[in-house]
Amino acid sequence: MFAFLAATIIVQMVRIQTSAEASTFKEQAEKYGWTPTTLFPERGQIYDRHGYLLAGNKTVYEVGVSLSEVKDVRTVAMTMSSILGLNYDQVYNVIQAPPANVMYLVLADFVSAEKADELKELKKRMSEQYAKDGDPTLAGLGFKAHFMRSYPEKTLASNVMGFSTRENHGSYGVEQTYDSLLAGMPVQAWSPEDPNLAGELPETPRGSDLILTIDREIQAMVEEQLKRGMEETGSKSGTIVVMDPTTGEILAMASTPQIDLNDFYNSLDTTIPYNRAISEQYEPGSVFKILTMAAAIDSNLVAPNSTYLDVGFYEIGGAYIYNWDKGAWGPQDMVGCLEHSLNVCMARLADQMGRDTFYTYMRRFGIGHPTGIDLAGEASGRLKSPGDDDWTEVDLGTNSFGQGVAVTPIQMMAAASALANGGRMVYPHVLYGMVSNGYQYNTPVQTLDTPVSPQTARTVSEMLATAMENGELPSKVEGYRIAGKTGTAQIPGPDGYDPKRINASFVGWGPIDAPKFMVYIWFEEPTSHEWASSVAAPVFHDVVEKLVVLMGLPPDDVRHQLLGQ
Amino acid sequence: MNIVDKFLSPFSRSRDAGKTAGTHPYQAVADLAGSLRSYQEMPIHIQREGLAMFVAGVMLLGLVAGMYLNVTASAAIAGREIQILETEIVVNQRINADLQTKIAGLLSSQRLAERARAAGYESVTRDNLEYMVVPGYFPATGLNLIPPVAEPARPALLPEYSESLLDWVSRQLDSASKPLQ
Repeated sequence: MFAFLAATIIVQMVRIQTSAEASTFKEQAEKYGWTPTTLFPERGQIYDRHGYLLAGNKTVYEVGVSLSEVKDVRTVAMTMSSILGLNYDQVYNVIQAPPANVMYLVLADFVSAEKADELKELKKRMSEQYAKDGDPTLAGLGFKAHFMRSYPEKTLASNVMGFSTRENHGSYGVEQTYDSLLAGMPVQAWSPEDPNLAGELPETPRGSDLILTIDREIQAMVEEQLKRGMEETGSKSGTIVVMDPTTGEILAMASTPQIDLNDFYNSLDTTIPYNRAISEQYEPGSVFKILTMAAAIDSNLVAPNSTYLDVGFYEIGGAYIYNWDKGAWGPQDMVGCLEHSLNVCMARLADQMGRDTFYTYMRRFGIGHPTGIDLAGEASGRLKSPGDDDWTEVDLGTNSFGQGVAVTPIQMMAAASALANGGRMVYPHVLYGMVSNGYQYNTPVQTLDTPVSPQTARTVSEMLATAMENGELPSKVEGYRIAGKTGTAQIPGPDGYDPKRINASFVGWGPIDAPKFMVYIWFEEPTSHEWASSVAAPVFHDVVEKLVVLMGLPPDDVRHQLLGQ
Repeated sequence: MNIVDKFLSPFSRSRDAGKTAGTHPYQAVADLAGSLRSYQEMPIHIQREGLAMFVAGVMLLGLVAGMYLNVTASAAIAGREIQILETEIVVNQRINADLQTKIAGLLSSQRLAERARAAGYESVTRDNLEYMVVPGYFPATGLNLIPPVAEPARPALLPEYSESLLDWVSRQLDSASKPLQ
């Protein structure tokens, strides 16, 4: 009997295997036996220069319903409404009348782990109750976990960081510039339903981790000072950047406004520049004079002790250039020229240099060209040059003291780094290193150009430090020899320059014998004062006072003593 | 008439009929029944020998089938375990990422500053700093996120996860032939 049964089964097996429908069965087995799965790698993390996490990932859930398993539509709709705040009618209607050929409906995505846990617990309790009494049930409700970007420092360094959208695309800042590195490569895999065929899923290496040059303590301090500065000066906007002038590493970069990166979809205003330090170009005013002076000294036109008689005006291209106070400053040397920020002196130097020499130097300082900083959205600035349709001889005079020329703060810093760094202009960057496949690749120091000689750089630094010591600027920091220059520039409008609307800037670096920091301050349209010496210089002082503590930089005399030991 | 004869009687008729009318559909069964009748007519000791051979063959087949089922079932269980482990790996990766982000949130500069202030600490200023040379101390330069120790070797995959039935039999025979230690 058993032999007969066995023979029948074997005959039936052979018959099915060789029947006309066999190929159809095989096709169906192949079709339903494997499930396609896209494995999305975890987005790479971002750290500050000391290893503090600035951008990580957290688990969120997609909540949906498997339509064939739903038993109680009202309860599902009510729960979605009460816990996730969804519209009851919409949920009810879409489950009752789903689109054609749909087996699974997504009701909500990016649901926090806490809310998802609450839903899971409720579903479990209701399921137990349903088994006992047939009470309402959440059967059919499903959860799919996935990653979402999270920024533990919230607003900190938001102008530099940018953010990752819900679609895992980087937007603005580092997130956009290094999006392809951070995102990694999704992997398509097939999972077998047959456990006999189960194997390891293919490796989905996570995106590369990035280490930034940003120091979060300095960044936090800079943002605090920026906030204070904005309140005290009543400015429309503000920007502060701290850079190591010998390497180009950005230690801190902040501009208003900053946004909570975890809530970018509510706090981002796309009509406002995201990072003014790199994307906003403006007429810098007198901070530009350091470049004109450097060009004049490097071309051997003048020396620090060269003198001239300031009569209060200078004619160039048929127009007259006046000093900021419309006054005549009499006999002046080049240090006095910088100390008193004399426009007449600068126009005279540019005129004597000649337009070819002047503009060649400005181009070598990178004016009118993006620095190439590794942040999305850098503006190039504008340097009108002889040959341009809108260039006139007067521009040579006005450009010399930072009028009629447009720069970004980062461009001015890159140019000034040549003076702080022995003539070598460094490439400003925010990427310290990248970690990928178990290796760390650090960004090497790169020189953009060498616009002036080491001797010229040292001379101009010394002149600026002396000018600061001679003057009464509040930017001086006791114990530290610092080079710096203010810049007050009226803002051009349709009817010419408006004396009541100014840009107040300050650029400074120190200690000048071994520079460790360069700080750039820019306040747009301050209402408290009309001179950068009263707006930007005090903020520079406060930033540097705290910066030297955070960087562990002793006062010059102590440092020299320690070096001698 | 014994039971074989009873069983054979209709087929015997059919066989006779088939001789005149051509091949009968139950010819093969009738032949088998004929063989059985011949078997019954054999001496008893030959019958027993044949029966023993048949039983031994069935047992061998059963043994092979049993072994095959055992190995297949083990492979299926192992496959399911792999799938479960893969899921656990993904879940653990998520938990790791969640915890890293949570720790970073607790150690964020803002939270630390708040906690420090609440604990009565004040920000250090230039006035209350003293610098000194510490012989032999060199401050760390640069961050390295790669751990200095080499990653531990990946555990070898157990043979059960990859071997065929023949491999398994061969391994079992090898291990059985080894002296006990």
